[in-house]
Amino acid sequence: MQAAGVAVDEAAPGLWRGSFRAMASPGEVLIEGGSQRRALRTTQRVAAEAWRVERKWSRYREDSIVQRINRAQSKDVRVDDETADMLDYAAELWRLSAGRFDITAGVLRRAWRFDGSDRLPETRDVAELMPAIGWQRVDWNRPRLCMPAGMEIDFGGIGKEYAVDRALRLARAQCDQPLLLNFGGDLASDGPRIDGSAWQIGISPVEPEGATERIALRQGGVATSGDAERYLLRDGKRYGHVLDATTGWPTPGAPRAVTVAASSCTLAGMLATLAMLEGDHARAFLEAQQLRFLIQ
Amino acid sequence: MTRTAIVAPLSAATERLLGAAPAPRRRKDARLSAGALVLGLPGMLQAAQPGDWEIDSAVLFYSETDRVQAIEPVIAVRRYFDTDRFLSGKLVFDSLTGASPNGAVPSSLPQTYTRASGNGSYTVGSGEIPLDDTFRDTRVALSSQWQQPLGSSLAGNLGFAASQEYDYQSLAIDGGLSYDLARNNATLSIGMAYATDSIEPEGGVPLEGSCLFGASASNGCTESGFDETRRTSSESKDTLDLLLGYTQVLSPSTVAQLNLSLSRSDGYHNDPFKLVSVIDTDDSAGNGIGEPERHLHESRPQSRSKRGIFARVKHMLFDRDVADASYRFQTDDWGLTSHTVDLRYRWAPWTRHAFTPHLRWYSQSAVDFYAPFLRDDAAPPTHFTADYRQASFEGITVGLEYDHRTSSGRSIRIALEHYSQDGEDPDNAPGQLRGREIFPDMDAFMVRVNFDFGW
Repeated sequence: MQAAGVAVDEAAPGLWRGSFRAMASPGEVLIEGGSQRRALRTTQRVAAEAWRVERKWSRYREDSIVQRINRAQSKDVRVDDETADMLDYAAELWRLSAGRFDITAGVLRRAWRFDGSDRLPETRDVAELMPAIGWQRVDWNRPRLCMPAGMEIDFGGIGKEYAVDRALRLARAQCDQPLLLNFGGDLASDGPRIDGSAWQIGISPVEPEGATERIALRQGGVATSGDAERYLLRDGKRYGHVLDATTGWPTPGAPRAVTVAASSCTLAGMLATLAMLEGDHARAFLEAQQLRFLIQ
Repeated sequence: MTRTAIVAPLSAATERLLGAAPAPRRRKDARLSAGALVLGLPGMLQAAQPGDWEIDSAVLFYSETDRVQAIEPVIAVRRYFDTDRFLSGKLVFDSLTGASPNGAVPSSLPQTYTRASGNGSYTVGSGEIPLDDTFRDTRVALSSQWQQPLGSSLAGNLGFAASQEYDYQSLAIDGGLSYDLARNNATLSIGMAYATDSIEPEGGVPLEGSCLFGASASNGCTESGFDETRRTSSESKDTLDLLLGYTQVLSPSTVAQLNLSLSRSDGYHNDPFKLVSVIDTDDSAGNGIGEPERHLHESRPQSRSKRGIFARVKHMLFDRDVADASYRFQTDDWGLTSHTVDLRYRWAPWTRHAFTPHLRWYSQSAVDFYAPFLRDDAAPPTHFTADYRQASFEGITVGLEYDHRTSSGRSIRIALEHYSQDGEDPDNAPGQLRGREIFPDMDAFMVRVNFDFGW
């Protein structure tokens, strides 16, 4: 069964799988029980929310609020409530990570291209970008934001997980069956399966020969930071795509991937990212949080 | 970055971003939401599935010991047009048979009563509370409701209801608005309903205070023909209800509700089948002291104003169970004041099975003009009724509901309830009435089977 941009098929008897694409990832909705039509409507709602969040904070749309901020040239920009909530959250993450997580760090993409090659940026190229990075240079006075010309913000590191949590709540208004949302490895559910059992989530190994680990999720979110495809390799040393905004470089010794289970997908995603920024200390950091996690 | 636990501040910030986490998803009627609780009925707590039909069918069997029996099939249909807009309809059949107290006092002699229609009579044995055994009725009620959003946080509903019995008709319209505030954590609602009822008893509407036909002039009755006890062929009553409600989600697992209600009705409030006995205080009729001399048709005021307050708290425990407690206070200008305490605990030890024990305590004071009987040594007051429903009494309901959800999301519910009603007999009853049961205590059993499905 299909509708604009979404499709639903039966993954297993009594288990509907809705699929769509958003945020450069496959989106998936698992719905246990109910009719296929109901599953299609639920998937439509989930996809609509993913598309809305994607459009709203897109770096590529001229009319998006992010573009307006990035093009404001040191002028005040008044933002809507949802964007303001997001900026507050980003500010808190910046504070809690001592500046390593920074939504103004997106300009580093001009120096870093994670294509699996060995083409590391020149130290100078990265250093030249550093003056354009730093939340402390942004004057954020809700609901007004004033940012020096040349700087950019980017919600790419939060948006997908946020969309998963949002879409789950909206889907709940459409559907009473057990639900699991999966946006390219960022997952959330608000309750167990019909028989009371947890959802079993397989975590793909980053090495083809590795074993698939499992995380059981009853309620909350699971998110993974680190990407098998997005890295650079030089002299046997791997450079992952999570960059420390205070240096412009990946934290030395960062794991290949970190998967965290928490009360929401957004929280899980941020903890996974912060763990990557801890480098060698990722495991100790995660153990201190007393949450379930998997390091690869 | 500090390696100590930042999960607490980060989790708090995430909650600020996302809003507080909703209660874990359980079954549909266990889910707490401000909007759903305002609607109140378990069948209405279902999640909206646009374009789908939801059907809730039920059969209720009700039996009062030695009295009224009722079977009531109900079918409710709801069609969603999108998430928030729906049209619902409900059809109820009531089939009542059995006997109901007519208000007169027992006598040491068998008593014969003319039927309210004037056609025929029924006889009551000595010492028994007189029951009108012709109580037999079928009622059909149809109601419909349209609900839709009027903006992002405002919703409106409009309804219509009609019911038809052999001699009673009711038509009603209602409308309401509900407004979500504080990020949907609170709902403010107002509602209004207007109903017009008409009654056309067979044989006409009895004249208030007139004698039951068949008593002689020696008993103080002036009416010599049946028609002289009748006023008109039909009567009507108009009722206006106003409701103000506020629901607040206190935590992801607790929701509270407060309602204020006002009601005003004008018109005919009597029950044309209810009588009040005038008893002999000096054996002037020669049957003995305390014997009913004659029976008068009851006489109630032409208007009634009620005020009520209702408070309810629902709390989810262990991510699984729901405790539900409510209290209602109601008072009116007839002098009736009532208290209702209702306690339920939904215990859901397994995913698809739940048990809900239920306890309700109800207590009311009598209306000012309630009189179990009148005395022949005093002129009858302007208003009087001996209807036990206007008397002072207490009622206790004890029940248990079992509900089962099938894997396809359908549900079947079976409820068993026992109701017992206990009133006081007057302690100043003279002669033969002394020590007799005058207030009809009652026991009733109820079985209800619900089956919900949809497609």
